[in-house]
Amino acid sequence: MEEVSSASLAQLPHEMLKFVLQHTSASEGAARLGQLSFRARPTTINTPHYLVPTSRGVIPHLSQDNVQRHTKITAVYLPLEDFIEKSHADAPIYSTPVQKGESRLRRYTCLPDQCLSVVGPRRVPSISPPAHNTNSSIAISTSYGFRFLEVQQYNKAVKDLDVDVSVSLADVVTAETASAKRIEKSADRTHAWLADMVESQRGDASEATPVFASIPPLEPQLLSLYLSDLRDEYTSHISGLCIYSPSTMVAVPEGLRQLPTICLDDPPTPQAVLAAIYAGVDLITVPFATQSSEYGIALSFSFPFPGSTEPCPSEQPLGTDMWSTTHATDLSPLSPDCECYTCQRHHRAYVHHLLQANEMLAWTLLQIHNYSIIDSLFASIRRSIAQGTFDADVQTFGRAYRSELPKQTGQGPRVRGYQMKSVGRGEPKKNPRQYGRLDDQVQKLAEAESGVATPDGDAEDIEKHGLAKRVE
Amino acid sequence: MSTATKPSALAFDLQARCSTSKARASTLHLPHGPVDLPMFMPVATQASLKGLTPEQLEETGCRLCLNNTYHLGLKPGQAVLDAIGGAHKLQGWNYNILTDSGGFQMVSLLKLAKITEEGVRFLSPHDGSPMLLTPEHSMSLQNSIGSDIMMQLDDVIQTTSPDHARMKEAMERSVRWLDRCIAAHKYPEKQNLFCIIQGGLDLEMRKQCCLEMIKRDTPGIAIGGLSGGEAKSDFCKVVDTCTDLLPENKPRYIMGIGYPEDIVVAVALGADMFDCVWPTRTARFGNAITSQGVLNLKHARYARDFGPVEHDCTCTCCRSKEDGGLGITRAYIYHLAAKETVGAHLLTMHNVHHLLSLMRRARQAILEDRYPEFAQDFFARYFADKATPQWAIDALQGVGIEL
Repeated sequence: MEEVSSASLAQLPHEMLKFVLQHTSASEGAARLGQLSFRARPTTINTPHYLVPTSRGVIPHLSQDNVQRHTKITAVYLPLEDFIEKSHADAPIYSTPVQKGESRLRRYTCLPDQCLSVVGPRRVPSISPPAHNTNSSIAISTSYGFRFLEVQQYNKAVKDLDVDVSVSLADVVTAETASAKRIEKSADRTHAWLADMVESQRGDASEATPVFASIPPLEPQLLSLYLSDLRDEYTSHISGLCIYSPSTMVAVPEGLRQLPTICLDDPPTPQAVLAAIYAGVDLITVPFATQSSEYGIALSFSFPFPGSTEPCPSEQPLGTDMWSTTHATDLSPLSPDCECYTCQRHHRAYVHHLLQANEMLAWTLLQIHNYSIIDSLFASIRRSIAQGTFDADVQTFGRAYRSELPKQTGQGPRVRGYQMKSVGRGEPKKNPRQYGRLDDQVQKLAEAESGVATPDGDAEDIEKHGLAKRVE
Repeated sequence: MSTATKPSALAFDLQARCSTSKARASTLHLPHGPVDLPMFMPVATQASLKGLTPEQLEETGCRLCLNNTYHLGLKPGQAVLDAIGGAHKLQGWNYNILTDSGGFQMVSLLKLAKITEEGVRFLSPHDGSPMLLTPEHSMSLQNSIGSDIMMQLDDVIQTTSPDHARMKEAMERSVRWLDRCIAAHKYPEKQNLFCIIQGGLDLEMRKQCCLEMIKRDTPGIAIGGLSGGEAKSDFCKVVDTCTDLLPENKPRYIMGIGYPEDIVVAVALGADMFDCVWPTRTARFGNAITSQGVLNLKHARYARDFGPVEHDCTCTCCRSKEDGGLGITRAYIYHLAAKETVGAHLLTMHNVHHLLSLMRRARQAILEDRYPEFAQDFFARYFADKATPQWAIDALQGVGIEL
C-alpha cells in the first residue's frame, strides 16, 4: 500500500469542501484519519465515518426530531430515484420554494442541519432494473416502476437541488454473466458521464456542487485508462472518489489517494466494514444497521473487543435477537453500558413486547440503538488508527466475534415495491396476507373502536395470560 | 376540591363552569400527576402510541393515555406484567394510564360471545374451546397493569338494539358487575375504578342506571355504549340526560368519542374526558386533522403544497425550523404517506397535538367564560365549506349556544 505523507493537505478545486489527512502509518494498511469540512455546513466529519442510506429522504423509522436528539448521524446518502415518481420532469421536489442560499433538497426532505447530504442516482442497496443503461441514461427504479434517468437530467438535478456532495453517474454492471464487451463499456461510459458532469458544473465556481467521481467495480486493468485520466485531467474538477466495492481501492493510483473516498456498498458485517477501512475507504454506507433493526436485532459488538481471545477464539454474537422470548421480562438495556436513548430509558422487555405486538416503535428504538453502536464503532476505529493499533484490533475483532449477524426470526415491516424486485411468476409473497376479500367486515370492525383486534392464541394461551378461563 | 367518600386515588378540582352551557373546566389529580379537563386521551393500544416514543408523546402535552386491557392481557400477558411491575414500567411512561375492562373487544368482535351472569363466554377463535371472562378477571388484570384509572367490566350491547328487555338486563347486570368489580379491586387507594353508565338509547333506563351507579360512589363515572353507530342526535340526548343527574364533583368520561365536532358538543353537554383511536389511526392513512377539517394528504393535490400540515400549528412537525420545529410540509407528507413509517409518525404527532391543543383552547375558553364563542368559532372553521350538521346545531341550542 502506498504511504501518504503525514498531514498532507489536499487543496481541492472548490472551497466548498476541504479534506485534511491527519495521519497514516504503514503498519495500518491503507487506513487513515482525515477531516472533511464544508464551507456551507456547520459539521466537520472526522473520517473514517459512516454514511446513512435514506429511503424517500428519511432514515427509515427515525423522524427528524429523533435523528437530531438521539443520534450522532452527520452524513446521509440520498438517492435521486426516490424523488422521481411518474416522470423526472414533474417530480414535486424541483418545485420546492427556497430562500437564497438554501438547499432545495434539504428544504423538501426537512433534513436536519447536522446531516451532510450526499446524492447519487440509485438506492443503496439498489434493485437491478430489467432494462440496461444506455449511452446517455441509466435505468432506475421508482415507486411507480422502472424508468430511465438521462445523464443531463441528473446533472441538472444535483445543481437545482443544491446538494452538499454529488456522486457522478456510474455504469455499474449488475448482471453476473455480462459479456466482456459490456464490461468494457462500463469504464468508458462512466468516464464520459463524469466529463458531462464536470462540463455542466462550469460557470460560477463558488456555486458548484462538489463532485465525487464514480469508479465502477471492475478489474484494475479495465480501470487503468480511466483512472490515469482522472489523475491527469480531473483532479482540479473533482472533490473526491466514489467506489462501489472496497476491492476497487487497490486500483486507485497515488495521485488520487489524497482525495476523500466514499464507498457505496452493502458490507454484510462489521468485519467487512473494518476491511474496507483497512483498504483506505473514508466514508462508507452501512445498510446492515437499518436491516438489523427491521429484523429485530440489537447490535451488540464493541471495537476493539474488550475481552481476551487467548488461548482460543471466542464466538461472541454480533447482535441480540430481540424476538427471543428470553427477553420477555428482562429489564436490562439492549447492550450493557450503552448510552443511547433506548438503553437509557427503555429495556429489552419493552422492545421484545413491541416486536411481538407488531408495533412500529420497535424499529424506531432499535434504529436509535443500532446507529449508536455504529457511531461508537467508527469513533473507536479512529482512536485505534490514531494509536497505531488498528491492525491488531481488527485481527482480535475477527477472532472474537462470529462471522455473521444473527438470522432474522421474526417479521419485519411490510416490504415496499421500491425496496425489492419482483422476479415474476411463482415468487413467494413478500408480505404476509393481512386480510382477505371477504374479511372486510372484520377489518372494518377492527378499525371501528378503541383499538380493537381479534384475540390470537388458543384457549390455553388466553387462560395462561389471565385474560379469561376455560369453562366446561 | 372534593373527593369521593370511599377510598380513591384521585382528587377532582372543579375550576370553572360555563355560564351558558354545561361545560366545565377542572383539574384531575391522579397518581401520576395532574391532568387538565376537559381532555382527550390518545390510545396506545399495545403500550405504544403508533411509532411515537414516550418522549415524543410527552412532547405533544399528553399526560394521560389509554392502554387496552384485552391486548396487554394477551401480549405481554399478566405474568410478564407482574414480573415487570406494571404497564408504566413496561413502556417507560411516567404519566397516567387509563385501561378499559377488556370486555368490549370480545363482544364487538367475537360472533360467538355470549354474556351470562357469570361473565362473557366466548369460544377461543383458535381452537374453539369455551372461555369465560369475569369481572374478577378484568380487575385482576387491570391491577397487574397498574393503570391509574381502570374501568369496570360491563355488559355491552349495541345501543341500536331493539330488544328492550335485553337492554334492561344488560343495564342491571352492569350494576351487579360493578359490585363484583369493587369487591375484587385490590388497590382502591392506588388505582381509581370508574363505573360505566349503560342503558342504550332509552333515556329512562339511562336515568335509572345513573342513580344506581351514583350510589356506588366510584371516583369517576363513564358513559358507555355510545359511538356504536347510533344517530348523533340520540348520542347527544343520552349525554345530556346523564350529565344532568351525575354529581358535579366527579369526572365524566365518554368512551370511544374522538371526532372534534363530537367532543366540542359533548363538552358543552358537561362531559370531561374522551378517547378514540381515530386521530392516530387516520394519521396512518395519511389524514391530517386541522381546524379547517380533515385533509387526506395522500391526494395528489398536496404533492406541491409546501405549506405546513396546518398553518399556525405549534406541534413539532408543523413548526418551522426557524422556530425549533421540523418544518414538515404537506408535500413531504404526501411523499412519505403509506410508504415510510416516518410519514405515519409525523402525522400521528400532529394529530395528537391537534386534539390536545383543541382541548386546551376549549378549557381556556371555559375558564374565561366564553365557551359559546369558542364553539361557534370552531364550527365556523371546521365546516367552512360544508353545512354544519343539524344534530350539532340542535344539541348546542339545547344548552343555549346558537350556531
